[in-house]
Amino acid sequence: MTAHPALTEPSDQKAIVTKSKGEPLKRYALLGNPNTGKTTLFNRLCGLRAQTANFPGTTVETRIGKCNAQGSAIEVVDLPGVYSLYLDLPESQVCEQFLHDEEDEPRRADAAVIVVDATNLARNLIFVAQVLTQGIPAVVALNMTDIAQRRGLTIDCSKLSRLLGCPVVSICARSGDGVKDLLAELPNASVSGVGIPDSSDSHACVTWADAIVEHSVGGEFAIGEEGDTFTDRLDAAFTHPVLGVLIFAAVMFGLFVVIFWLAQFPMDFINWLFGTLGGIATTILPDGAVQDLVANGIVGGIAGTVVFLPQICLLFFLLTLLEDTGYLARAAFVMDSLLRRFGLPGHSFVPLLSAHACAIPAIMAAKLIPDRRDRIATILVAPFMSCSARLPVYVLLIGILFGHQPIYAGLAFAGCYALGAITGLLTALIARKSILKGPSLPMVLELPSYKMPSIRTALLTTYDRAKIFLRKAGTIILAICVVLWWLGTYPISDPPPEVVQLQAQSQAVEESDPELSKELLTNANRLYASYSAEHSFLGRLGRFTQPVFEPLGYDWQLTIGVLSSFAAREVFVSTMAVVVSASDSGDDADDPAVIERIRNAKRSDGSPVLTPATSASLLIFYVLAMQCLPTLAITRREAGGWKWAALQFGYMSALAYVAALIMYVSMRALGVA
Amino acid sequence: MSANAVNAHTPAKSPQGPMVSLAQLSSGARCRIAVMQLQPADTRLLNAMGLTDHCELCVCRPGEPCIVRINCTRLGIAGSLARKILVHLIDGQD
Ligand SMILES: Nc1nc2c(ncn2[C@@H]2O[C@H](COP(=O)(O)OP(=O)(O)OP(=O)(O)O)[C@@H](O)[C@H]2O)c(=O)[nH]1
Ligand SMILES: [Mg+2]
Repeated sequence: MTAHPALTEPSDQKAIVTKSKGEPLKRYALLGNPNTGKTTLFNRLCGLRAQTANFPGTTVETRIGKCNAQGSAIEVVDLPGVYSLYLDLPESQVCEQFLHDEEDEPRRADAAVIVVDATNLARNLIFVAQVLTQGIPAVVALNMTDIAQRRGLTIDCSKLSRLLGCPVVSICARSGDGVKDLLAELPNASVSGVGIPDSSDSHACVTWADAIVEHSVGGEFAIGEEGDTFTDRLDAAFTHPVLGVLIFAAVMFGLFVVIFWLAQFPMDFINWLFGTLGGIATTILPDGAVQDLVANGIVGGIAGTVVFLPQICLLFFLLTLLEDTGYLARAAFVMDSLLRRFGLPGHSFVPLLSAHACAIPAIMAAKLIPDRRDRIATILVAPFMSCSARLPVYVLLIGILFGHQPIYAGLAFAGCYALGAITGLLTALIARKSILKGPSLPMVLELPSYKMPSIRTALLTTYDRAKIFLRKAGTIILAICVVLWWLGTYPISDPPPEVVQLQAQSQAVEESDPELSKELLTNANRLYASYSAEHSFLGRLGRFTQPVFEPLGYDWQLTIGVLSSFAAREVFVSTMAVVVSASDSGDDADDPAVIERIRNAKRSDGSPVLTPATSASLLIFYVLAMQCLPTLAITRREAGGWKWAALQFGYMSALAYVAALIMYVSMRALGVA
Repeated sequence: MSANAVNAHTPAKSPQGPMVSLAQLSSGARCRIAVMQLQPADTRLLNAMGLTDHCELCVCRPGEPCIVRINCTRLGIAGSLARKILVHLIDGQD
């Protein structure tokens, strides 16, 4: 075979330059086109020894891990897949920054490992050319060799290596074949000395890449010949305007049924576990503030976070599996035509859907959206979707409204979900036409081939997401719970005369009627807890701010419930349980007795705290209000600034207030008390 | 883009059909990119994804989205975009 004019052999291969100090570990960046198997390779190399971090100032996520190469530890960075280093996208810029030594943060990579899809060499080589011309030592990992082999392609790695001017190792990241060879080859990473066309000359690049393919690949690439009819048929069904939507609806329905059904078992277990832990803390610690802090503040706070973990894990596990099959790329097109009407791309669908479990992972999943404006719009409206933390509140309030009318109750549930989703979509539309005005990126997606999903990848992704959730949200929720506990507990007030009297009565009849004595004592304790709540800092705050919520029909007790929910909605039921008349048996929100007590709670004038009108108004308020500090923290992180978090908070709360007011006033006008 | 430029990179054996929009082709049609009447940023993205000038592609599924295959890459392209990509038909159109 004669040498192609576009190809030149390397003049020399400079060995990788080691850092002079030798302290930091040698850092290798995994680069490549999307879906070439970088993350799969990264997981093979580093397994659980990895940290996910947001690239400073962007919404792009990178993972850094450690592994052992030839007896010495190295650092590996998994970067997002990009089609080119020179696109005006944050992902491209992040990849480029890892190749250059401009700033201290992040430290530039010592060498690049370019992960290449062996079945799509021609296009991948254009990206290889871009990296090699950066003058950084590189190794090419030729991945997906199993598929290439099945298709009858043979790739001559040594020839490819000579033509590229850097080591080329054939691997199969999925099975792990060749990964050891790759590790052995890393120290030989070299700066390519071959003549590579400038990336600005796309035609020369294409010619160069084609020539390399011609010289190093045996067998036939299927170029426009007989198509893959199986893939074609699946694509036709999955992207069909009617059938595609039906399939998508069925898949999503299945996904969420599985999530909610499966999650309930670990959630019950977690509730039981922390209930037991709280009990143990109560038994072994002496009565007093420390016991209360540990049993209610800390254990309760951790339980409040961990209880969402099963849903989050299941969501990411199943979504990763689904994404791995190749289906989600098709689904994005199906949803695109629907979501475009609201100014959002098809990519937004998965985050918005995930937001029904919890807005935090949903906002984290918004990373998948290529365009910045689309991404921010999605982040802004994600908390409108009814998350699982709202469920206990819906259960309580709908139970009060339609306790014995299951059909109406079902409709009300569906209505809450619909109200949240529709308001979110309309808000997205308004945002894209005002503050986030601008053209959207056109919908072009690579449709990966259909595959059996990798359980290993899904498990590792799930582990990673769970860690981020626990770290980011867990610390904040825990802190909030402790602060709330403090505000709700202090200052400790002396028991009021009624309580003292009840306690005395209880003592008096202790001998003669133990039953009555116990009942009296229970009542005394409830009254005291309620009295303490009223006179705590939180109670005073509730009374102070109550006039703001007066037009919505909320008394000071509901105001305390609403205020404490601004930290996290799920505390509403437990806070209300304490405020309206606490029981000494704890504040288990699932306990029907607690719900009954809240339902029957009375104001000081004897009128019910929760009338149908206030319940309806409160329900609307909870559907629309931004009551979750951890979400605001995540919004700040992912959207890149407090201003977005502030906007989200202000807009949602104002909207919730107005909608709840309209609801209350119209219910009253209709004669519903 | 001039017709000359197209000819320069087109193998002589491939007939140079008239320019049509990618969205007009039916399934199984093979064609070669002629002109992309898009914003520069969109063109750059499509180029990087493998839809380069004069590359040969095969229409797998017309409509919304238009699914095409270039070598082993399958791309889904929104109909609005496919309408602005003009191609020379190689064969397969009824
Ligand atoms: N058959 C086969 N599949 C592989 C191999 N390596 C990765 N995959 C699969 O290819 C798909 C994409 O893998 P990822 O590791 O997520 O690819 P990536 O490069 O990290 O993708 P982005 O982060 O989106 O750029 C997954 O379904 C993997 O299971 C391989 O060697 N052989
Ligand atoms: Mg990846």
